[in-house]
Amino acid sequence: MSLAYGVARSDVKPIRKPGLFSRSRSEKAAIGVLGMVTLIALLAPVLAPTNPLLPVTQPFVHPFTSSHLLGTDSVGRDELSRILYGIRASWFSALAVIASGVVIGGLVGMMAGIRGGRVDSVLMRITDGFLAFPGPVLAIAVVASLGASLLHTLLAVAIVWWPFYARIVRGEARAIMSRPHIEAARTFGVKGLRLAYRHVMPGVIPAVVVTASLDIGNLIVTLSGLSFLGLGAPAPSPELGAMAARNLQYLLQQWWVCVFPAVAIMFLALVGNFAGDSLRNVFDSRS
Amino acid sequence: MALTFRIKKDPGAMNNIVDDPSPVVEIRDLSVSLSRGQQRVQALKGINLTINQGEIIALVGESGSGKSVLGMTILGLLPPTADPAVDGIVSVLGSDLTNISDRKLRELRRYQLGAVFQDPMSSLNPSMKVKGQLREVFEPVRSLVDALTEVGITDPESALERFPFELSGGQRQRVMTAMALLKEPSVVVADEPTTALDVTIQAQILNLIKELRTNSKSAFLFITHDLGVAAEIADRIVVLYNGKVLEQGIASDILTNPSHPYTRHLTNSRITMTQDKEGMLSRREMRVNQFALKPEGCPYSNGCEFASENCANQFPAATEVGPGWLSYCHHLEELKLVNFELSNRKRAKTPPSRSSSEVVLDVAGVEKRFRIRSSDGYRELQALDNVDLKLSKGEVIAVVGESGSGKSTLLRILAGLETASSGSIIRRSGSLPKMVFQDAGSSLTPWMKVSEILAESLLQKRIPKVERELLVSQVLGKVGLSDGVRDSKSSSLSGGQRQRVAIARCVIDPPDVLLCDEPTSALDASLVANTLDLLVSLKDELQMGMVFVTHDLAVARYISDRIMVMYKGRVVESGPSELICTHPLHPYTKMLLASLPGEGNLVDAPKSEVSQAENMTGCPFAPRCSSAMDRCIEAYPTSMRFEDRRQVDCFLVKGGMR
Repeated sequence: MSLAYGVARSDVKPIRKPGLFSRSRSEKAAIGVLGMVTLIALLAPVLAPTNPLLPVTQPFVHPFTSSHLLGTDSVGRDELSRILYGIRASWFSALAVIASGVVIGGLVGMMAGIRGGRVDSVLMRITDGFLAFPGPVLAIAVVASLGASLLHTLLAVAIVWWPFYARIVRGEARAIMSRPHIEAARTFGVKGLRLAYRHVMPGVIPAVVVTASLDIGNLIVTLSGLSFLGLGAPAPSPELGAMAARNLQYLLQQWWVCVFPAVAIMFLALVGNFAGDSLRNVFDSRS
Repeated sequence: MALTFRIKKDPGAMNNIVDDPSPVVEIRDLSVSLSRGQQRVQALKGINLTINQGEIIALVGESGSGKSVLGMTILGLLPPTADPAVDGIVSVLGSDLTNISDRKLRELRRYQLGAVFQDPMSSLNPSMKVKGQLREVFEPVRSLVDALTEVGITDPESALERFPFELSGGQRQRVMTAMALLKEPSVVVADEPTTALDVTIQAQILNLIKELRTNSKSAFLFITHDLGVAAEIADRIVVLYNGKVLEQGIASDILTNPSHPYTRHLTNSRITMTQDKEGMLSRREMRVNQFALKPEGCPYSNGCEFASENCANQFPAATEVGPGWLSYCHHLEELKLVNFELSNRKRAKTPPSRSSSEVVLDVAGVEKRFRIRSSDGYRELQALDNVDLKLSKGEVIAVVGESGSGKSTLLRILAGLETASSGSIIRRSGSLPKMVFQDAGSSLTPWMKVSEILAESLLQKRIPKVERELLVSQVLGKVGLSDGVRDSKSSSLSGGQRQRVAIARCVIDPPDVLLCDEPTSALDASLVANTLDLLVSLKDELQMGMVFVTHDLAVARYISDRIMVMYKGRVVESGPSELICTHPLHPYTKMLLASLPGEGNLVDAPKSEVSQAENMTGCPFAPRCSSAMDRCIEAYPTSMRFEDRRQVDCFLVKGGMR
């Protein structure tokens, strides 16, 4: 049957493309470090030698000398355990805020970018309104009215964080909507959710993944900054920003109680930026 | 069948070769490899080529043959990012480009080399007025106004004050040509300079280049994929395939009596105005990969019907077929015995054209107005003006016209992508027609698998999964694709495969009406033939009506039962295709036919630019029409109707019914 059209079957061998497992080196590296930190955060209860909330020995044991690798703090709690728990809190907080931003911003942005016109204008003006909130001030207001808790801080940050994603998703979606394959899909009767889900969304994902991973470092610093100001989890719970803030007074004599949490913050921020850069390279080279 | 190419010999051109054989470019054993991504690609292998003063050499080949690489090598402009490795000698006016200082190369480019590229918009500086760009090349040597006049720009003073985006496509290419040619360089490399232009403009530019060549004695390397264009302009032709020269010689020899199987394949794939409408275009089965091709073998051997094992192992030495005519093939003796116009294969079924009178699409009085922003607020653009179209089951209507004629707008309205400002569209089945887009690659969602793309329209009809899979397999067979492409994404398919997927998507759930928007304009000649054959047989099998938009009258004539000629939103002439092509009545149709390259009548096309001025009340074609009268400016002519549903809008045409 097909031979009537003057084509031999062997004419149509698809060209091999790199498969799932032939990822580039920078992609592997990005996934590697993100996975590693997430694993540390997940396994903090197992990895931590002692309970981070309870004193285990005398205060200010020097690091690298005894069984306490990073020493102990002003009340004799194991510094390593507290930092591991602190990483856990900061990492998951950052991921939670990003997840909420991707979901809310993604929905708003997709809706605005795909529908266009009046829907677009209204949604984007609302987004601009949220973007106008000063983040830290809002956090102070939320914590002042609802009480200090990590959850309240996250809520406050999430409120100012999603508009950023809404803008990115909307821009990407609009660009994809003007590509010919959308028009083609429309002539085949594709519309609504199906259009958004299969014909637009996969094209938006790369930009969102890159932005989100670059955002991790940003958020860690923001959240630690807020907890440094006392707008995070209340007293005994281990949190990197708060640990650095409360132990600042010991910086000259017992430097480690302040410096190690700060180094941990720096480490997390660097990991986020590194992963983001690597992923951006990967997507740039593909497109 | 008459000769495929009707060539008018230009005596002046032939004398150029004989009298003045001093070579300006000599290429010996040139090999170029480039890196693409991770791989190194051998773009050119062992090229030998001489270009003499004042001669035009057409470099023909399909995409990927390396023709642009050769052009760039002569200009010394191979992209450094591709890390080119050049081996051999490229001597331009005695200086070897493979071993030259940057300063000397710049000097050579400045005074001796010229370049015209396909897209003048991207080769002109968008932020500079024409005056400034020309001044970089000419002043104070010559007057810029003279320069523009010489390339046929009618109002040079105002053109000088404009930015490139304010010029029409034809004007831009003229400015580009002026910059390249009027400094009278020794060698000009023209890389597909007319491919992006309308046929009428193409004809003008080709005539212009011929004229300038006679005056300036520049030698040309004219790169093109279109044998018709090559026939029109070239003294000699060089056929390139996969980085190898397969045949070279005098243009008329090669085009009328090609010796190499690949050249024969190319000339046979070309659709001409004398094409047998009942015959198929692709005349043979491709026998692919019958022998393991060695790097030193003939690259065409895995597609060649005459290939032997020897071909795959060793590239043949040059055989002198005639004076200055070299062919590289092991089987030339055998080939002499085979008639080069291979017998036409008839179509499997004779199409019952215009068979049923069942109308599947009835368009009446459709108008479309766009609001566009102009310098003084908004103004209205009439994209379609009173368009009628009646399509029967199994009938093909071709819509032809230049860019801006409204042919694509009409198609988009039929597809439901735009709504008409007024008029009525009645579809028999009530469902929307399906459409094959111009650029098949970008019309396929890049992250979706072929099977998912194909099943998309079935999904809307809630057909169960098992049945969908079955239909996908069936339709892949129908369009000549193997089941193996099912899980591929469009980026891993070749151009021809993508076009087949795009067609399969339309016919998996056969529509009453298939819309085609220039589906072949981005494809190589042999793929065009295959695609058109596929469309015709699908149309016959599924009894679809088809609206086929194209700028190529030869394609329109071949595929359609009726042709509609559009100009500035109006159907100026319509009727049975054969009649329109043999006896055109409207001056615009005549002009389109006269502009077709390779048909031997290009001489009639004007050399200078024609005015595209707006004529709001009268006939929009009047400003370009050689036989325009006063009344043409004042009013639009009423349609004259003849038998066979033929219609012409022109005051010159008499005797029909109003």
